[in-house]
Amino acid sequence: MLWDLTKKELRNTLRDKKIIITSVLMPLIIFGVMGLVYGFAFSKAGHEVKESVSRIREEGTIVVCSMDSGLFTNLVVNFSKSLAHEVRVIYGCTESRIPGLLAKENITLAVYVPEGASENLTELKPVKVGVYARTDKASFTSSMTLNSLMSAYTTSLTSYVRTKILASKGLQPSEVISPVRAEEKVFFRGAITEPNTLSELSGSLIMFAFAPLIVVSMALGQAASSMAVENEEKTLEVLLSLPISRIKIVLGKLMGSLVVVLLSTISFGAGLAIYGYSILYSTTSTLSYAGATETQPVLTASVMTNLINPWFVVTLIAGTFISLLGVASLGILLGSLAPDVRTSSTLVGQLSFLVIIPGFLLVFLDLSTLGPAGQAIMIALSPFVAPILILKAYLENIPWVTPATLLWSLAFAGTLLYTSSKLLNSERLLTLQHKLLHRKLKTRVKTKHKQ
Amino acid sequence: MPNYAVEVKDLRKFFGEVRAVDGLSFSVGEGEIFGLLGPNGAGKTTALRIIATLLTPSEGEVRVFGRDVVRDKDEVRKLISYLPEEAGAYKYLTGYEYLSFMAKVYGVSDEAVRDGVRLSGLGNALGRYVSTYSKGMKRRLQVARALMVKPKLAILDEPTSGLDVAHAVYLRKAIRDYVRKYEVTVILSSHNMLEVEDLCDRVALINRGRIAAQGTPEELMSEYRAKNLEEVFVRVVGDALGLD
Repeated sequence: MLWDLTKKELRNTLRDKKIIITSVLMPLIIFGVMGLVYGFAFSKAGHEVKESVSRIREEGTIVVCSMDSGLFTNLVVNFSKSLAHEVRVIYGCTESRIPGLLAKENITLAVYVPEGASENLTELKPVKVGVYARTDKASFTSSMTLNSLMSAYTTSLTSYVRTKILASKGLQPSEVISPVRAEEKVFFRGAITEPNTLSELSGSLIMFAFAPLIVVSMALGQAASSMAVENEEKTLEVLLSLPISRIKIVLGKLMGSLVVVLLSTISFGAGLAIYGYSILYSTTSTLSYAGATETQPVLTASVMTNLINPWFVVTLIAGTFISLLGVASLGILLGSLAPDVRTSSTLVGQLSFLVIIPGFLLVFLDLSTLGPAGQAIMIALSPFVAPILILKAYLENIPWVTPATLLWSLAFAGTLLYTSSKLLNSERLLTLQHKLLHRKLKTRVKTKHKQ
Repeated sequence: MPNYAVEVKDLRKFFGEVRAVDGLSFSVGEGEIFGLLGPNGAGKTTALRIIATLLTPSEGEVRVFGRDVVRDKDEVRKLISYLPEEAGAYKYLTGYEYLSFMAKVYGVSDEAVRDGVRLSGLGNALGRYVSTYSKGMKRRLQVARALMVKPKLAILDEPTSGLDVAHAVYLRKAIRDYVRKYEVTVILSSHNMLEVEDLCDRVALINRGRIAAQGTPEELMSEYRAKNLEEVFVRVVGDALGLD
């Protein structure tokens, strides 16, 4: 009996094509696409590292900012010349000048050599240098590139110095492990920060990018069910016979859905504020060059402050609103075709890939690795996740993407809004519903015949 | 030429190969209560939906107070109030909120809402969510909603469908008293012959999308030598359905 019951359940469930699509095909597609995206992102990042090293040779500039005028500075300069297209040396240069230099000039790396570095070297004491890299992009690829670049520089410099100096003293390089201790820093949009900050920032912002994805998905479901419930509760026919224009009906639905979603958005905003605050004021222990343990914030307040500018906030809010408008219009279209809330949920599940796939692509893929054509394709694919695109474009410093995203999303939302109001022409809607119902009945009859 | 509230001329409506309405013609005078009778699938609901501007005719013409239901549908919607056979109300609104919403949609005064309250006879229950109402209470609310705005034409599809005798009697009385008082024209469909006999000034029997017989209940009973409309119905459409 149990087997008969199970068999009946399986027949009744698996013969519904919607269930197969939602339960089997969708996860396969979503996770398949995610795997491809991850793989693409990693290989692009690796490629970018190689590219950036060769770019330094062809057009890169290294500035050596030195308070030392002896042997060590010469070694650093000679080593840097073997790497970069141009090397400039500024003697009597304090470390505090470095942010100013990086802000004004197109410098790939700045190396600070402290006073007494050459004496330290002669006495076989480690020399502490500062290696500064500049970037305007906070992304997975840029943080990986910067870390690799600075690490490669430091390791090679250490090896170079060890070989040259220690050999002249009749010592084997292996006798002294590390004559140079480099403190690596990143100059990111006007502030000096730890290299880890960038990767932490990119990682943390994934959550910020996921938030719009969740809110937009909720808006789709909310709008669809608000319309489907009109069918389920048999209120639609009366609504359509009332002396109200179709566009007003759609706008009323949209505004109602948006207010509900806005409450969720505020709740998400509050949650994210707590999340951001926790990250901003959390501390991490790092091992300093002297071997002492230092405690410092993971994300410095200056980096976060520099990140938030009014134009970005305005575009992000506009993008969120436009995406919600578009997705709610799509929800109304889907919901009006569904005879009940359950069917609308299934339809929403099937079409959620329109939100989820571009959303995932944007969260994990760096726009800068795609080139203008790839970026344009991403804009075209992402009318419902404009805030993620705007966030990524801002962090990766690709200014044209933001206005293009806003315009495209607005055009898309407007078209969907118009289509929804046209569909609410009751004749078309009732005929479509009739066709859907008719197809369902036909399928049932065929199934019965087979049995 | 008499002033008709509704004129239906050679109306046809096709859904693919199905002819839901196939050459229907009738007219309803102002202030009249007109009944459409017919078996299931005869085309009553389709005809009412066309008059209510929800569907467009495949062929033919329908006018409501002289306005074409296709070309002037916005105008027509201001004149009519439509009660579908299966009409629901928003379950998380109270009955009173629902009536107030409808009054605002039609731009009528609070007096209309008070009329709706009286018509529904729901009393204090109007303060409760619609989700707590029984089927009969929901139907009373719907009839009140449809009539309280004093439309020029009320289109009522099976107004007492599925109700027990007490609720049905209450609603019939409410409809009759209200439309007579405010001279509302009514076109209704029903399976309940007693209801039609009780309410309607004139009746049309529809079968397979066409008028099979038309007249006052008395005229029809006399023409078909029947004791009541039920007998008329069986004689007119019973043969077609294979009934004895």
